[in-house]
Amino acid sequence: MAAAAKPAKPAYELSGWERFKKDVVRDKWLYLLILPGMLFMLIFRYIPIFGNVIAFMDFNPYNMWNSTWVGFDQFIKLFNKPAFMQTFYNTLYISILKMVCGFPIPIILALMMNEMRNMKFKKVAQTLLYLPHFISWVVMAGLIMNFLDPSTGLVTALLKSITGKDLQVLTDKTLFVPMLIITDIYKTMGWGTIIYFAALSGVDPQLYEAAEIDGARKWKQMINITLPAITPTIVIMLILNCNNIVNAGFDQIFMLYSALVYDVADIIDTYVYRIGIQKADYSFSTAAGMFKSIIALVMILIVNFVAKKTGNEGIW
Amino acid sequence: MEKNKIKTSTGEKIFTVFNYAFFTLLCLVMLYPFWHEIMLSFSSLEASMKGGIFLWPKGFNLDTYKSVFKNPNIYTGFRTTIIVTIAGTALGTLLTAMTAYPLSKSRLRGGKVLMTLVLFTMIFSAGMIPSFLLIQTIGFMDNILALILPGLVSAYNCIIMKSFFLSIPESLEESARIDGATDLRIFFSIILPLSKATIATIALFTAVGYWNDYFSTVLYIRSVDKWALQAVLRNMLTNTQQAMQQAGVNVMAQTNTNAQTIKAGTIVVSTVPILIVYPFVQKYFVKGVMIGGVKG
Amino acid sequence: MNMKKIASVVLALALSVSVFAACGSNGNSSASSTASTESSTASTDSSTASTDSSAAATGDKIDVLNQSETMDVSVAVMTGFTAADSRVQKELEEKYNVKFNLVVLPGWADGQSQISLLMASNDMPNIMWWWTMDTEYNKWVKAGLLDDVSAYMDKYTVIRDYYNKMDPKTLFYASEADGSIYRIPGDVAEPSCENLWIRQDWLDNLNLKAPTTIEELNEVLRAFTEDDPDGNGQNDTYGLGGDGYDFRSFWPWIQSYDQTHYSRFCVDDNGVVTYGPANEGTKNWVSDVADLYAKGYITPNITQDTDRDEQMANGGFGVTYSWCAWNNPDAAPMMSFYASNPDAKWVPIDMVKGSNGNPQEDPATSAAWAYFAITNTASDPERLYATWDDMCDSDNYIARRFGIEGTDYKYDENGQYVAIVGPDSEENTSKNIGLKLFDNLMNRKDECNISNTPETTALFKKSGENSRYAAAHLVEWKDPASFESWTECSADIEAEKDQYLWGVIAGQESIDDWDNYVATLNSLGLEDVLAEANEDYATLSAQMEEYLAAHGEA
Repeated sequence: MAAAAKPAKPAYELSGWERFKKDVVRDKWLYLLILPGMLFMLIFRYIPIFGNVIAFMDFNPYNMWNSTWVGFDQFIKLFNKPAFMQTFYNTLYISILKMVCGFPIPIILALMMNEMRNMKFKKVAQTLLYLPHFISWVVMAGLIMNFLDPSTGLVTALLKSITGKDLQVLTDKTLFVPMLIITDIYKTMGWGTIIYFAALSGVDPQLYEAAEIDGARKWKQMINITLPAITPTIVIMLILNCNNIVNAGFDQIFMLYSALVYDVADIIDTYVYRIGIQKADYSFSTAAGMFKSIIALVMILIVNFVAKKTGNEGIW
Repeated sequence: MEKNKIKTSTGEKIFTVFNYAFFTLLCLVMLYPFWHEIMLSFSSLEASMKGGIFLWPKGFNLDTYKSVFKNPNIYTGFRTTIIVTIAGTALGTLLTAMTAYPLSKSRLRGGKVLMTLVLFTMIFSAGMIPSFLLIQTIGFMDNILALILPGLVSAYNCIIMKSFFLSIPESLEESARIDGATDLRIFFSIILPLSKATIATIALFTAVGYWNDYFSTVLYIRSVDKWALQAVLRNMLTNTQQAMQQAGVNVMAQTNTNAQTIKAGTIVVSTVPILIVYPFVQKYFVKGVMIGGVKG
Repeated sequence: MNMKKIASVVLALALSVSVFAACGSNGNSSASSTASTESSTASTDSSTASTDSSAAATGDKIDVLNQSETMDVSVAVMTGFTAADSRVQKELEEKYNVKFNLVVLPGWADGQSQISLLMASNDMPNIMWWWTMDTEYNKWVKAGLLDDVSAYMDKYTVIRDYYNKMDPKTLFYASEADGSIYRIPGDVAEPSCENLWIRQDWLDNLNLKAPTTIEELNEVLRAFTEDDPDGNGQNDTYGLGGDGYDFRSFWPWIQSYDQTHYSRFCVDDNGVVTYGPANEGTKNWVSDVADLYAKGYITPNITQDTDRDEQMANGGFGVTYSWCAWNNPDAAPMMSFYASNPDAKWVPIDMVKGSNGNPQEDPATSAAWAYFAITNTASDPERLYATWDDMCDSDNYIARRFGIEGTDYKYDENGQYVAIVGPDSEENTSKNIGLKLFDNLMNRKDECNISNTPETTALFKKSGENSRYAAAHLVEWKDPASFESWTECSADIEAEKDQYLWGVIAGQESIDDWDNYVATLNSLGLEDVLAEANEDYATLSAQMEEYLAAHGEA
């Protein structure tokens, strides 16, 4: 548990506390280095976490002194709201779909890209592929609305020529979520590809050479060498993704949804925003947000535990 | 990995052709929306409303850009966003490195606790309202510091940085230490120069975050001349009939709905800076990802 | 062991800092509020504020034109002109010796969030502007954030007299039960401000007459869609167009039935209150509209958050329910329409007769749709009110909205206003002139609206008169926020309503599920709402009578 003391020092003569003091003095510059960062974490991450106490209050934003403690009332109200339970369901539904559909794509793309021999092409492809990662959702939403415009949108026209119907994706309950998934994949796949590609380029070329001497075909090489090599990266990415299971993508949905698709598209974050910020019901929406954070915490603890149990490296 | 002289099977040849074709198509799909916006922005208003602009502008003109650049908010938006991005990136990257370096030292007393504290912020976020109340409490409302400070250090970046530092051989530091250098000296004169690629990566992550941040402006900024670019953009790109209908607004000309061409022009203007910087930083960035990975 | 110690030390540190910060925040806020009380006569306590202002009422009038001390005034603005340091702003600043600081709200989509955030911070603007947000408004009043201006209103009378002249109910809706007034109506629509519009040139091309009944109107929509009214040989036109996601676009079909509305409560001749969107009439018009939509007679994107003007300029449709003010030659949407369609002609026609045989225009509310208020951050609320009152005087209003005669506009030989620089023109923005500054922070709809032609004025009058029957059968709540059951579940009911009604129109839901929809509304609490609504309505009617009797002589 404690950090190992340096064997070079005659440490065994000192008591635990003295040794501790000595180590701290030795590393004073390191503590100095880390101080601003930890102060930052304290102020901008931890104080707001403690700020969650207003979920147990009836917080009056216009007059703080008029706030009263209400215990778990806000949470009870929350769970009795059908609208909230719907947003909770939508959140999980959308994020799980995003994960199931979006997770394998970068791996496949990276594996395919790895097979290309033309370095120039590879580079250009990479560059273009992760370009959308750098574009904000504000702009992406502008693009999407443009392409899905019912009268002049190019994708609308394309869909019409395929299905023969005038499809209004942005207001259609059955099409809205698939649209979210596809545009999310569009925006993020290039980025994921880069990460796996980076992991792939770390694979020892000698392994392939050896395999080729053994006469293994490309396909076999991929199964036996490439995939195992990037499995740790896949696991880490998976764990990080699980942390996002309660984040179905606020920016994306916020910019694109409308009341017509609330049923399927309203997520916890958009709900928190509408109730909390617009209606100034700070306590209620903080309770909703806190519920979300707790689910996320539990989620990642479980996944990390499972990963470790199955012999992979967790994130800590 | 160079030329492999082993003969390839037909299946592999087909795969190679397919592979190149597939990626070519994919690249076009990635590029086309932006191309389309550019073409739209150079088209005439009438042509844009008729639709059917695919590859080239119809009714070529520069009116769009004339009106886009007449909007004073575009300039102030750029100013705010550039200041926020540069200050936030510089400070944030430095802070991240300073935080990550001690965490990479296993001899550091309390290092594990500190690491857990950092990690915890990644998996348990405080939520919108408490963060807002904090900024309000410390008096940063309507101050661009509110756009800069909360995003300085992320646990995720700290972990990437830390795992990179772990990969630097201890021996490099040892020799400096024998020469009497303090940890501070070692960090600034040995470690930082060694970490250029990773730092560039973190800087890029941070910069993209700042550049694309829209929501902080909504929460923290009132003065229109301090709005970040993305907020200006959102204001120009969204239609607002819904809000007005709910309001039962009973007056004409309350909207400032912008024509498709103006929207396209705004998108282009806001994206061009990214496209210009992008090729210069992306080589670092790929390198940085390769070195740091996402491993913790 | 050491680790545990450090961990607990760090945790304790974190806790104490957060507690400290919290205390600091409270300390700060109380300090700043004390500061503001000391530095001014304003008070954070609403009851004291009202005594202040009634005390002020007995004092001498403030001469706002001769003030030696410059007063800083921050104003929340969103509509109209919003750039800083315009010519008009400078003129006003010099005239009243004030310095304006415009706090620009970010537009309709995020505006209410910003208003909420501003009010929850310790330094809201001296003059706050908002629309709807009744629940929030009540909280602001309770927290003492707004100043009571009723006494100022009696002392400086321009605003009060204007509203009482136009519709005495307006100030009734703005006031509290005890007679205090915390919100000043910012913009009240004309009794009805909309009209049925049709493309005369298309009618002529197809040899059709203007429709007078809903059946004829449906036939016109069909012909406009299928018979190539613009004669370009392409099937590129639609019958009906309108602002997307706005039920008002379907008004001709709505008014065809009694006791229906897309969002408001209805009241029948016996005084029984019902929820318009759940009434049988709504079922009827929604299926009518859904039928037309399915046939393709309506622009497809009307179900989305889209803008009418853009599609109109494209010459896409031939019938729409829209603003009377389109009749003015300087109406911006019409100018851009005629610029690209010089041979076209939009004309206003009488409302068509529906199945109830009683054509009605869409009535506006007597209450304002937007309000503004003086907040407790104002250093001298009386001077501020007096200044604002003076700014709303006819001549000053015209100067603020239309500018200087001879420079920004002139009168032609018929005495009709002609814009040199229109309030909506690009020049107004590019040269930072500032016409329409503080638009909707008191907007006049009387003869001060000089850009209205006599025909437009007549059109407004006719629409207004033709909407009174409908107006009398719709409920207007004075304070929707005190309507408890409604505040509790209105968000859920309205979301369900919008989803279902738009769903039917768009063809995604079936009208056969109507009973299910009503059952859902009931399960969301509609029954309780209606029980309370009927009680409240009776009280409200009595209050209104009392108020109007008391203020009759004023």
